[in-house]
Amino acid sequence: MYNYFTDLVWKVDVGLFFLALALVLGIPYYGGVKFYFESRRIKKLRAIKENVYRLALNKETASPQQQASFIRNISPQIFLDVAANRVREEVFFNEAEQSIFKQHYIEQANIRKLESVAARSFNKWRRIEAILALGYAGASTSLETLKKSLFEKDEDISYFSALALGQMRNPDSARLLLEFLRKNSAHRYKIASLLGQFPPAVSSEVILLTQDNDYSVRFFALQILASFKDSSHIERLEELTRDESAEVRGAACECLGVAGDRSALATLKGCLKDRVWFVKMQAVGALENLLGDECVGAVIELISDNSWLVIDGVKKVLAKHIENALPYLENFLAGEDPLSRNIAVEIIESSGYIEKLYTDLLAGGATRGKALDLLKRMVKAGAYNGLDPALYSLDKGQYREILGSLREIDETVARRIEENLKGKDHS
Amino acid sequence: MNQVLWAQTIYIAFIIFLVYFLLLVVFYVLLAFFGFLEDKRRSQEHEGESYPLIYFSNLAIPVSIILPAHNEEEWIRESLLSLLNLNYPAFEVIVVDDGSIDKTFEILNEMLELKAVDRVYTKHYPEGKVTAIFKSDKYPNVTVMRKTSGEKKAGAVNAGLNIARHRFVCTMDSDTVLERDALLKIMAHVHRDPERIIGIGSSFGLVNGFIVKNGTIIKRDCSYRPIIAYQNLEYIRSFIGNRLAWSRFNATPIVAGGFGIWRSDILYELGGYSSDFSSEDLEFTFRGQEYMAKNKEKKYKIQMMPYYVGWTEGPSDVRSLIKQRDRWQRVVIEGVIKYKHMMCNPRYGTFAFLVFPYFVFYEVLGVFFEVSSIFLVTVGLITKMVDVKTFLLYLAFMGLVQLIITLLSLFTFIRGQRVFKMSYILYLILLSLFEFFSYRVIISIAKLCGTYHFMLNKRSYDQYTRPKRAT
Repeated sequence: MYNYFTDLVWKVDVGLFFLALALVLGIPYYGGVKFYFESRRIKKLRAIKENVYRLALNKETASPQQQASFIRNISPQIFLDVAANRVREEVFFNEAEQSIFKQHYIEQANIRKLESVAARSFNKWRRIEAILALGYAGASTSLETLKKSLFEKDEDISYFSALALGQMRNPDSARLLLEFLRKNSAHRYKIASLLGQFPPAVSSEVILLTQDNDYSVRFFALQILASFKDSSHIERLEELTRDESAEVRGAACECLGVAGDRSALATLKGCLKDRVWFVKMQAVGALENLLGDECVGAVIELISDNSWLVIDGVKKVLAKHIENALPYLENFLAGEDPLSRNIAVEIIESSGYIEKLYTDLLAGGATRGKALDLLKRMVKAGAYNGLDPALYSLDKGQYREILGSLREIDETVARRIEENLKGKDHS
Repeated sequence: MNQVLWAQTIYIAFIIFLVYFLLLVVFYVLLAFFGFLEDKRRSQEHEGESYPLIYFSNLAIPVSIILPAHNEEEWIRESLLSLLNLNYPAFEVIVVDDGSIDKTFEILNEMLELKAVDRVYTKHYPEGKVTAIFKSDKYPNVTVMRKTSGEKKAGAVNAGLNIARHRFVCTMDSDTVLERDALLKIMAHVHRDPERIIGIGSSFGLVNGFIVKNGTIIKRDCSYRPIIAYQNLEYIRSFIGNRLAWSRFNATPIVAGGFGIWRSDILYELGGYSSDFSSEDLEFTFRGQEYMAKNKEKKYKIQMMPYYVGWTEGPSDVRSLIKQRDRWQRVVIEGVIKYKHMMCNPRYGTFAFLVFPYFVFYEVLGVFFEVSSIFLVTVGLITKMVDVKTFLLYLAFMGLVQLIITLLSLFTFIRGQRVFKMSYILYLILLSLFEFFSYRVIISIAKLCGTYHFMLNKRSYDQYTRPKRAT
């Protein structure tokens, strides 16, 4: 008989057995400990809000109006639900609550106490309470404390510090948050969203980040600028439409669109020829923002773009401005390219113009002739299902008349519609 | 065969199996370690994330959700409602009725008040024959496509892709009920680096036993039926035990079809899903990995999140379970064979040296190691070449290896989980003690069937009979 390493297998089995035993006992223990600390953490989170609650209900520190507003805006049940679901933003305070905070802590002595707790307390959650209070109090002297806590390794402290700074909404807090955005790649979206709620006055700070080497920093800086709808940095934005990153170029187009300055028109029209579909799509949206229904002429060429997403974007714009787009669409319908004809049909149908077309058909005379001609071209180009919905709103006589017109154009289509609508309102 | 030859064969096989299982334990301990780190990292990010800020922000990246449905009259209502209830500011839903012959379309029509439209689009992806497109009067962000069946789920998803408008596309199964914050949680991560994250998936569990009403889970009673609980355990092992660790090395091998998000331009570059395989998700992720390796300079990422984003229906009897796992095994073998050039090829990095060999030696060949080793030691015992003590020690060894693998995954899982009650976790621990002699046997049979059917060139997407959901 061979040696089957019985001793080795025995030793391995014993080792594995003890490892399994440790895990069998360790998993519930670890789970229990985790559960305990989580419950404790939630309690602490609740305590933050409850402290404010007590403050609000204290007649010496809050007026009846403030109390009423506070009670109306946040019920204890909402708060408990929020804490239980661990949505930490909800431990923050609404406008009414903030004013109570400010009233209470605005004295410099109180601010100093808070700063001391925020910087030195051994209890992390007391620190967070203090950091939040500093943010809501909005005292400029607290910036240094918040800056230190913002760049701490502890995720919770850093997170709440960012949100506290977000509440200050002044150029100094913006500068700190922008620095944080630049150095911390994990929370850029969140910081950008916070900064997007700052007054546009901080845009001169934000624009500096568009020089950063990291594409993501440039991108978020542009996203912040887009939410300001500010037109004071058009030249820099125009430069960014030539950035190496498509994300940045697209965001720059978006910014130029919302900035509302027509001097960027030529740049945006140039972006319609970008090599990346995403940039072209953003440029279409931006041109629509700037020009309204006049944008039709500028974007119409992209109806035959390689990217179906760009085409979809253009279709949407044309459908929205159908009156201006109609001459172009009629040209497509009269043309030879089957795809353009189909797209024209889709745009006319999705814009709701079919209802007007039917009304024109019922009008008689030259109007009817023109409408009949357009309908004929549409049917030839493949209009099919989209002809039905507008017929629902017509009365029986009108429906019959339209059906008669359709029969003149194409007997099969008319029969199909009649079949489809049988048993519905008109038959 | 003479006795000496038998004895030699058993001896050599014994050594091979011993080394195999020892390596497996070491491998899983390492996986658990890295999975634990990854889970911790993601949990911290999750806790620091400001979801309401994203929800109310105008910076949210819109998503197209594609819901393919083939004879799903039992599930489609709840799945669709769970999508319509999603807490996300910008998304469209494209339901693809893939040749259903039951009441799926009637239910959709009643729920959505559909109106047929003429929609022009370019068929970038092979989709089969689309017969009609409808827009919902009630929900402007919902489109329904009807197509003939025959191209499996891949064809149905491709049809949806052809009209999807947004930059990120989420594909899911029609029996999956999503958590309200599913998209918000996953897209919050995408928002951090939309230029590099090209694919992302997350965990889900079994909805069996839950009560779902109007697309919302109103009672989360996890089923204590062993066949369901073992599957929950297996999902934990797969999502938390394996895929999280792979994700840490940017070597995610599969973004599950039940819920996965891909960047649409990458889907386009890769030509959409392929219906040549028994299922589309694994093959597509392998293709994604290949694409990432070819475009190394772009530093693309395919990632896995630990959050439970949805709940799917699992087989509730042995026959259905075998049918499902048979298909899964075929999917793995098909993927491994098609992408065999990636195996230990330095060009494909971690994926080639850790994930691919894992798929070959554990997912494909593992069942043969297990079955053959048990068979050979049993033969050895019968022919008296192996004594009873060695036989029992060897069986205990294999059982303990399986147990350790499961417990390590559970240890990682318990860290961040807020999904199961502690009593259920204790029940899962108890079940894991018996897994090797019960559930594992069923899975081994299914894997052998899958391998056999693969060799018979079977490539169908078999749907098992699913139980009625509690209401």
